[in-house]
Amino acid sequence: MSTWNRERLLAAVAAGALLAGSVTLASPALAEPGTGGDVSVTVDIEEITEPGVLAMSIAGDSVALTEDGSTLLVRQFVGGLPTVTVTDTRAADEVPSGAAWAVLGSATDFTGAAGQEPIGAGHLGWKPRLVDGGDTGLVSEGEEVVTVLDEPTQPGNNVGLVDQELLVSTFDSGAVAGGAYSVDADLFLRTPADVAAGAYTSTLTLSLFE
Amino acid sequence: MTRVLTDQKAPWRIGARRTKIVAIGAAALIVGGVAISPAAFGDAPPAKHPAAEIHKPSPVPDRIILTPTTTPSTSQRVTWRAEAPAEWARAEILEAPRALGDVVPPTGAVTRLSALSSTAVNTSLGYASTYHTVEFTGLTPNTRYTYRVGDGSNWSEWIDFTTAAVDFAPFSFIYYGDAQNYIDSAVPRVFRQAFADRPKAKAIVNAGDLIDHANSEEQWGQWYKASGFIDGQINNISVPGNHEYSGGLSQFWRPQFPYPDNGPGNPELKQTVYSLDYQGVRFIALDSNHQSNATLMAAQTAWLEGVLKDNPNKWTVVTFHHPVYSTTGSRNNAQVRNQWGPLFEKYGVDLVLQGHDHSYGRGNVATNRRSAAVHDGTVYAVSVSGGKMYQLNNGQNWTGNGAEVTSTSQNTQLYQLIDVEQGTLRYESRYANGQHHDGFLIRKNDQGERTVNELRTPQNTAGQQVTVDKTTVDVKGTVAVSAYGYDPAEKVAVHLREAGSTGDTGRDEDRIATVTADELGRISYPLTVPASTNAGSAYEVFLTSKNQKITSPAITVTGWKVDVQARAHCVGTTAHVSVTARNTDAGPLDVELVTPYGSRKVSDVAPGKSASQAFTSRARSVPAGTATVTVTGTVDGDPVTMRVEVPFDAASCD
Repeated sequence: MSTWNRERLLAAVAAGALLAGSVTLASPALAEPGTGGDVSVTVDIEEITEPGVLAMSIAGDSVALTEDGSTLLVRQFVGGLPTVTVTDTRAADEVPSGAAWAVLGSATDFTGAAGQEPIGAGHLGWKPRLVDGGDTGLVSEGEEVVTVLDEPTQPGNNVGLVDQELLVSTFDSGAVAGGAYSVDADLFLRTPADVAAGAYTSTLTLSLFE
Repeated sequence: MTRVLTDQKAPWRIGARRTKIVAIGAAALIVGGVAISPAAFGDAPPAKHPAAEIHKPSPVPDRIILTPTTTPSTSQRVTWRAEAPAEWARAEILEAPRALGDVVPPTGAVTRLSALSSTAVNTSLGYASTYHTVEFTGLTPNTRYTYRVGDGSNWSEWIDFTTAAVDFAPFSFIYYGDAQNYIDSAVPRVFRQAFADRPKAKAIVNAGDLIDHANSEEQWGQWYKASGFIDGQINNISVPGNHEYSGGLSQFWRPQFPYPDNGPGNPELKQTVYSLDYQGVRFIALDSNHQSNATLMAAQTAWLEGVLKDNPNKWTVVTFHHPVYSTTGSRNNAQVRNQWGPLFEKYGVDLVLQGHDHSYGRGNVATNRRSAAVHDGTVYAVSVSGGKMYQLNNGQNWTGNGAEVTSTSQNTQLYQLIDVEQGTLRYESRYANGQHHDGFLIRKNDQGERTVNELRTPQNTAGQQVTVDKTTVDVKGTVAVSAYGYDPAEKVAVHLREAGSTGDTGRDEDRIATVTADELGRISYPLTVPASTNAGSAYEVFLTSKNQKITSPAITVTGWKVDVQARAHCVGTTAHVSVTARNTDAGPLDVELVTPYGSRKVSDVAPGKSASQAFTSRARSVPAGTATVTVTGTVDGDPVTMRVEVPFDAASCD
């Protein structure tokens, strides 16, 4: 098992009136090749087959959560996870037998911009949604994770995004190699009604494993 | 006594009377000892009483035996031995009175008849045994008569018999294999036990080898003594075995056994090949001693077909000596088997009663088997009543000729009891000591269809006894279920339950139908597999009724075609369980993937596509477990569900 890449996303929320947030995505720098020379030197070089790669990208680097669906007891702030795409350019025979990739997500506690009490990551849940899973049925989104304020909807899933929750995975990397698969998710932060007002920020880290 | 025993001071004086008593006791012991110590009376044992003395005839009748006529409801033959002039040999008969002795029969009540024949048989014991036969005629059917035989001065005791009913009426008869040896020691108890068990039997069938030496006066004498008074009141239907032949048929045969002269007509077969009908049973006697004589075999075969083809009786019993299927050694009666066997099957003979092999075997043609405990063919039986024993040969002559032997026994003396009813014929074989050995019940309807049912035992009324026409069936497909061995009209609950279920009570939720056994104890039912059945699983038909709790072989209900996998694995440091199901069937399927860590429904998974899901345990490890995949499709508009359990190994992600 190795981690292929890991990206971070900032989720910010301002409890109370407005909500504003941003997600920053750190991309690796790309180097441009140099040019120049007067002498024409020719050579025939056989094309080599570049090994394919398995990579993940996120279509944004921040999301701001807005209040929607609050009740007398629970305040709820919702937003959408930018589309996450897993691209696998490997040929099927390059994939180790039995390999299966998966994207896991963990969030940090929401820290208050003005020194409010943090809101634990257990209050942030998601419901992943497959945008493009191909047509094999072998790529599927992770199950919903609800918050510590909720009753579980699957065994033990009212824990929030505290630790390595599943966003998307395949049963068999080899069977879905050579494709791109995308998923997004509804994000929801549920807090007690008496949560302190103010801006909060959390970082949601997505990791691609195989 | 107590005082004497405890007085130790003067035992001899006061013990004088006691001493005398002890002495008397000792004398008694000495007397007892004499019996086992012949030397005390001298060196020579008593002489063996000569056979000529034991068996010599006198004017007083003995060896009295009834033989049937072809009209047993109105006539009866009786044969006896006596030193009496032919012109004086006679019998008297009257309807059985309430008393004799002081009570003299009213004038005209007694009919007197002269002997039909008197035949002297010269014997090896230096005298002739003269057999006389009288035929009573004009009798009233189903009526009890009393008769005696003699010469007018010397009479037998009065003896009773009952004429046959005109048409069918229930009755019993007895069948013996070879007596032949130990006739004066081991055989009598067999004959007497059979009579004790069926005292009202109407006939005794002997399948040959009644004696060891065809013309031995001593052995014939022993044979009659073994049966005693029984032969005088029960009709005897015997055929000759090889031991009734010695350079020709025994000189005793025809004088003793004046059977109907209605055989093929060859002089050699007179009164050894015959038939008669008795209360709904056709008895056919054949002489199997002529297998090397093509003429006599062909004559019997043609005659046999005639009496089988034109047979108004419900039941047919054939007897002869050499078995169609031998039970011992390398014996093989190919002529009997090839010429007569096919006729028995073709014309629905019920019982073929045989001897010769000094052991027991009972079976049938293998292709007639209908269930573990039922066939619908002719029953072939070989038995032995006497004390000479041969060893079984492992059924090779049966199995080598397309038959199967259901019951065997060796080193046992046996007798058979056959009880004939309108719809059933019950046969039971018992040992000399009266214990049960073998048995079956033939049921026959008016169309002549038949089932031969093993007598019920705890073993053959449980377990896998149900027949099905297929062991793989689609949901809503039909399985032809059949079973045998019931009472007529017995109610049978048809259940379809998971294969390998235990318990002998049918659960209401498994019940498909209730059916009624027919008059032959059969049921057949086209079972349609319900849509609610779990496709892909193995089921069994379970039939419960008063008399049986029986199952079919496992029937696999065709499942949806899916490739299912499950595994536990690590993603990061978290153990996940992943499950996938690929639809390899022809139409869309709804799939539900269930694990201890969550479940997922995927609707309309197209052919060739998969449903798959990873479930996080949120733990560093998971133990081995099972994922359940539920696949639902539709058959003719009804949802049909298949559950598949897939195990996964443990995973640890530390």
